[in-house]
Amino acid sequence: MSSSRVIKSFRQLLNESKEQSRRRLVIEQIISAMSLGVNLSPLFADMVKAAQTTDLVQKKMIYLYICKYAEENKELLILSTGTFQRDCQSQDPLVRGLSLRSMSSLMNKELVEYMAREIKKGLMDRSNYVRRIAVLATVKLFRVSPELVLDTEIEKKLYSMIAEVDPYVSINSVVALNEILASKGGISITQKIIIHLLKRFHEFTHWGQSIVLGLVANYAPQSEQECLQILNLLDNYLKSGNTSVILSVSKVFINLINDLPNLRNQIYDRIKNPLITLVSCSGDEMAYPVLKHIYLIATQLPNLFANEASRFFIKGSDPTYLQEIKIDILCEIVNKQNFKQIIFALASYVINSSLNEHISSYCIRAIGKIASQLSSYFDMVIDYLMEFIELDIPHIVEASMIILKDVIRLFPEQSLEIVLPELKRLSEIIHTEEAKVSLIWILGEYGEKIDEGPYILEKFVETFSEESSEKIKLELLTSVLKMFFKRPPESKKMLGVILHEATENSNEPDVIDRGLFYYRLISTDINKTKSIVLSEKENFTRFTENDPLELFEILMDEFNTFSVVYKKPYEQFKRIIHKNEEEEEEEDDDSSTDSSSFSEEELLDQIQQNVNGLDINQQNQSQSQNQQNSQEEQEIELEPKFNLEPSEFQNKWMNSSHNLNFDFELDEELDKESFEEILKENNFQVMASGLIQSTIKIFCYGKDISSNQIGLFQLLITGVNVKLNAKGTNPQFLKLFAEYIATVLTE
Amino acid sequence: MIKSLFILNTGGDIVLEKHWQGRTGRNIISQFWNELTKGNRTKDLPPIIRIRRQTLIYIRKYNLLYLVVADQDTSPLMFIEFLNRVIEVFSNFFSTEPTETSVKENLPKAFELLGEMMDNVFPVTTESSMLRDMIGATMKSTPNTIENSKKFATLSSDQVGGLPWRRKNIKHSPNEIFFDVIESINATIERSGKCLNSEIISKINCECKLSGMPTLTMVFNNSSILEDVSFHQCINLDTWERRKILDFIPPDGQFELLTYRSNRMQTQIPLYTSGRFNWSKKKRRGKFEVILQLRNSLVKSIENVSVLIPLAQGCSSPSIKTTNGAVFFNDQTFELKWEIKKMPKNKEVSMKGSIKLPSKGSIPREKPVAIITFSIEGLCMSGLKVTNLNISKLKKKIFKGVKFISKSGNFTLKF
Repeated sequence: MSSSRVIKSFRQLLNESKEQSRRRLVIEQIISAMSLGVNLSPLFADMVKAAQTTDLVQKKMIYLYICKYAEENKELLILSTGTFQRDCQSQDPLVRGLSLRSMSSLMNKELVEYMAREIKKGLMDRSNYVRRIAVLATVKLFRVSPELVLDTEIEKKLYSMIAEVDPYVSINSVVALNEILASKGGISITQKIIIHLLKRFHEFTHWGQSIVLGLVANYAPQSEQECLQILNLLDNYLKSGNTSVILSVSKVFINLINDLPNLRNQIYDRIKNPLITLVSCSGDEMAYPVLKHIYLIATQLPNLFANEASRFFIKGSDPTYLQEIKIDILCEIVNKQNFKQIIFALASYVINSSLNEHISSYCIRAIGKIASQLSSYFDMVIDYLMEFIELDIPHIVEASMIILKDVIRLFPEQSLEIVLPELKRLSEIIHTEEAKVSLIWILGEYGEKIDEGPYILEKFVETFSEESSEKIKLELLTSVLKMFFKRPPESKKMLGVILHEATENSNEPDVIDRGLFYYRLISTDINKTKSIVLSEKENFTRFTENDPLELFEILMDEFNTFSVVYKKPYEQFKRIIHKNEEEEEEEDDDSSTDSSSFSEEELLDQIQQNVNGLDINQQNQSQSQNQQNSQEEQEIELEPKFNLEPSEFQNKWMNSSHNLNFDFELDEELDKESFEEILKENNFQVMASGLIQSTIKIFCYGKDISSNQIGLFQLLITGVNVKLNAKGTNPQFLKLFAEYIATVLTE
Repeated sequence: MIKSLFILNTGGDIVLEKHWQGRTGRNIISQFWNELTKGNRTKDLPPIIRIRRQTLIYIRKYNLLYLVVADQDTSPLMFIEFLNRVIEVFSNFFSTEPTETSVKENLPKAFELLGEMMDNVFPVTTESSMLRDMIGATMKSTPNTIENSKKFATLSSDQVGGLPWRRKNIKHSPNEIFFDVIESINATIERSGKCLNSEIISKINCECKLSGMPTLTMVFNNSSILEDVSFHQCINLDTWERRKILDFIPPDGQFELLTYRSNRMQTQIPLYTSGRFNWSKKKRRGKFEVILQLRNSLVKSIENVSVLIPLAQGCSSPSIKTTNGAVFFNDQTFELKWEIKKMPKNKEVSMKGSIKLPSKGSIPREKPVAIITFSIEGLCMSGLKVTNLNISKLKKKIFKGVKFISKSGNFTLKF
C-alpha cells in the first residue's frame, strides 16, 4: 500500500469516527504506523483538529504526532497554538504539563513568544508537576533563543527554585541552569548551594543524586573539615542500589583525595568493595564500564586489587569485551604474591579451545607484558611460551614466537640460555609467517652463539626462491648478512646465494632493493657495512604498545566519563562531538526530505543506499561543511589518474613557492597500509612511504580537477598525531587542500 | 544526556524509536547493525561504542536490543541504568516481558512512559509506582475524558513531602508484604569434590501491598553477612550505619530491596559433587562419571537437579547408566543433560558412561566441564536470618512472610 492511500484511509477514519473509544483506536493506529517509519506528515491538519479532544489519552498521542511532524508543517503549526494555549489553562495539571512539554519540544522560532510566555507562567504554576516540566522547558527555550533565557528573570527564577521543597523541581532547576550556563562552565557552585543539595541528598532520585555528585566533584571544599564532612555524608551512598551513584561517589572521593593525601589508601579501600560487588552482581553490559574503571584505578594502585585476582578470571560465558578487560586488569595487578596464580590462569586460557583465537593470542601478549613487569620470573614465562609453540596450533605459535622474541630483547642474556638450545627444533616445527620472521630475527641477532646457527639459517636460504612471503625474505636477507659478519667462514656461501636470488630471481621490488642495497654496501666498504649492520642497539625496558603513564593520570581526572571506557582523554573526542552536531543537522534534513515521499520501495532503496553510500555521504557532508565555513572555499575533487614522475615530484617539492604546516589528530591509530589505501581511494597518489621507528612517513600528491592546482604532501604520523607538510603554488588553495586531506584521513 | 532511544528486534528492524532532542537519523542504526553482526560474533561488540563519532550504548533483554545515542560526556553507567529502568517499567506496565510483540501492542503506552521517564534528555521519574500517577488511564479501557477525571486535578505526587519512590494515599486490602531471599552460589568444584572457589550472590526481592506510608524495620541475626551490599533507595543508610538495622518506607508493588555478596558460607555447599572424565585416544571415546550427594543436614530433599556437559563437536552414541534420573543427549548442540526429579537423602546418585568421538580429527586437548543447576527452598547458605520485621503506622492486620531460596549460579565441576 502506498503512503497516499494510507493517509487517505486514515483521514477518512478520523472523520468518520465520532465515538471516543473508536477515535482512540484510530489514533493508536496512526502512532503505530508512524513508528514503523511511514510518513504521515500530510495528516497534520487533521491531527491538529483532533487535538481539541477532551480525552487525555488521545491528546497525548496527538501531541506526540505533532512534535514529530512539526518541522515539515511549519505553516500549519500556527493552527495548533490555540490548542496548546487552551490546554495550558486546563484544570488538570497533567494536561497543563503535557501541553507545556510538547509545545517546548517543537523548537520552532515562530512560536518562541508563546512558548516563553507559557513557560514563565508554568514556573509559577501551583502544581509541582507542571513546575518540574516548566523548569526543563526553559532549556528547550534556551536552545531556540538563548537571549530569552540568559541573564533574564528566568535565570534568576531558576536559581531561586533550587530551594523549592519539591525535590524534582529543585534538581531540575540545577540541571537546567547547568545546561543554560554550559558556556560559562555550568551552574555557579557555591558553598551555599552544595550544602543545600547535600542536606536533602536522600530526597533526590538516583538521577538527581548523580547530578548533585557531579557538582560536588567539581567543588573545592573550603577546609579540611568540610572535606571530611562530605566524605562522611557520602560514604553511605557507596551502598546505593544505583551503579551510577556509586561511581559518582567514587569520583568525588578520588577528587577529595588531592586535599587529603594522608587518607588516600583508606579512601581507595572504601571504594574497592562496592566496585567489585558491582561487577559480580550486575549484567555484562554494566560490568563492562565498571571493569574499565577498575582497570584505571589498578594502573594507579596496582596493589589495591592484588588479592582479588580470582575475581578477574574469565569465564567461558563472558563476551570477548569482558574477557579482554579482565585480562588487562590481571596484567596490572600482578605482583610477586599472585604471579603464579595469574600466569597459570592466563596459560590455561591460551590452550582452552572454547575461548576464541583472539583471546588466546591476547593472553599470550599479556604473559609477555607481565614478563616485562616482573623480570625475576621471565624464565617461567619462557617455559610457557615454549610449551605453547610445541602445541603446533598456528595462531598460538604465531603469537608465542613474537612474544618470545620480545622477551629475548628484554632479557637477552638470561633468556638466551634457555632458548638457544631449542632454536633448531623450533625451526623445524613452526610454519606461519610472523613466527618465522621472529625466529629468523633471533637467528640473525644471536644465532652465532650456537654451533648450528648458520646452518639453521642456511636451511631457510635453500628454500628462499620458493618462499612466497616478502616479509620472511626481507628478514632473512638481513639476518644472513648479520650472520656473515659474525661467522664469516660458514656464512659466506649462503650470503652469495641469497644476494643472487634476491637481486636476480625475485619479483618483489622491496626484496630486490634491499638485496641491491646490501650488495652495493658490501662492495663499497665492507668494514663500514659491518659497523652499520651490527650497530649497538639500545636496551629497551618497556614495550612500545604499553600505554604512556601520563594518559592514566589524565583519565583519573576524567573518572566516571566515557574517556575511561575509550581509554582516551576527552580532548581527543570533544572536537568530534561538535562536528557531530553539524553533521546531524544535515542528517535531519535528509531524513525529512526522504520520508515526505515515502513508499516502501523507496524506503528500501534508501536503507540500501545508506548502507552502501555512507562513506561518500560523509565525505560530501564534510566538504559542504567546509563550504559553509567560508565563502571563497570550493570543493576539491581530485583527478583519478594524475601521475607525476619521481623526478618531477622531487623537483616540485624543492621548488614550490608556498609551504604550509598543519597538525591534526586522528580518531584512531591506523597502519601504513590503511593510510595508503585511504589516500588512494580518494585519488591521492602515494609517491613513497616508509616506517621510521614508530613514525609513518608518506609522500603523496594530488591534482584538483576544477582548478588544476597540484598539491604535494609529506605526512608524518605517530600514533594519532599527524604532522602535515603541504607544498604548492597557491597559498589559499594549499590551505584548502590541507584541510581536505585532514578530513579524508579523519573520516 | 540521551538524545534518542531505538529498540531493535533480532533482525535489526526498528520496533520503536523515541527522540528527546533533535532527531537522529536511521542511518546510524544500519551502521551499528553492521558492526554488531560483523564476523558473526554478535555477542562480542562492547556495549559502549563510537560509531560515526557518536557514542552508542546498548543492552539486550528478551530478544530485544535497546540502543541509545548519547550526547554529552556524562557517566556511562547512567545510560545503562536508564535502559535497565526502561525494561523494568515496560515489564510492569505491559504486565508481561517486553518482547517485540508486546512492545508493538503497547506502542502508545510505551511512548507515554518514555515521555514521562525522560524530559529534555534528563531522566526524571523512573519508578513504576510513581509513573502510575502520570500514566492515568489504561489505554484500552473505557474512554477517560478530562471531565470525568477530576481526580487528576490533585496529582498525588504533587503533594509536598512525598518520597521519590512512593506516592501518597495508597490503599490496599488485605495488607500484605512478602520477602524472597534468593541466594545464588557460584562455585568451581574439582573432580575430587574439593571446592576451589565459591561466592554467594544474593538479593532480597519484595512484594509490598501496604496502605499509607508504613515504616518497616528489619533486624538480622548476623548483619555482618551484609558487608558488600547495595541498597534500594528507600533504605535509611544512617540507621544501617549506626545500628545495622534496615529501616525503610517501601515502594509500592514489586522491587529489589537489596543485593549482597558474601564469600563466607555458614553451611556446607548443599550438593556434594565429584566426577572424572577421560578421553581415550585408542578407542576414540570419552569415559566419564559424575557423582552427586545431598550433603546438608538442613535440607530434606532437592528437586529438579540437572547436570549439563557440553561435549566436543561431532560426539555421538552415548552409552550411559544412572542410579537415578534420566539422561538426554542433544546431537545438534552436543550437550549431555542428566536430570534428576528428586534427590534422595543419605544416598549417592551417579551417572556413568561413555561417548564416541568422530572417527576423524584430533582428540580434544582439554576435558569438558559439568554445569550443575539446582534450587532449594527454605535454605539460606550464608546463614542470614530475619529475626524481627516490624511495621509501624499501620493498624490493620498485616500478612507478612520471608521465604528463602538457595540456588546454583555459576556452579561448575571441573573434571
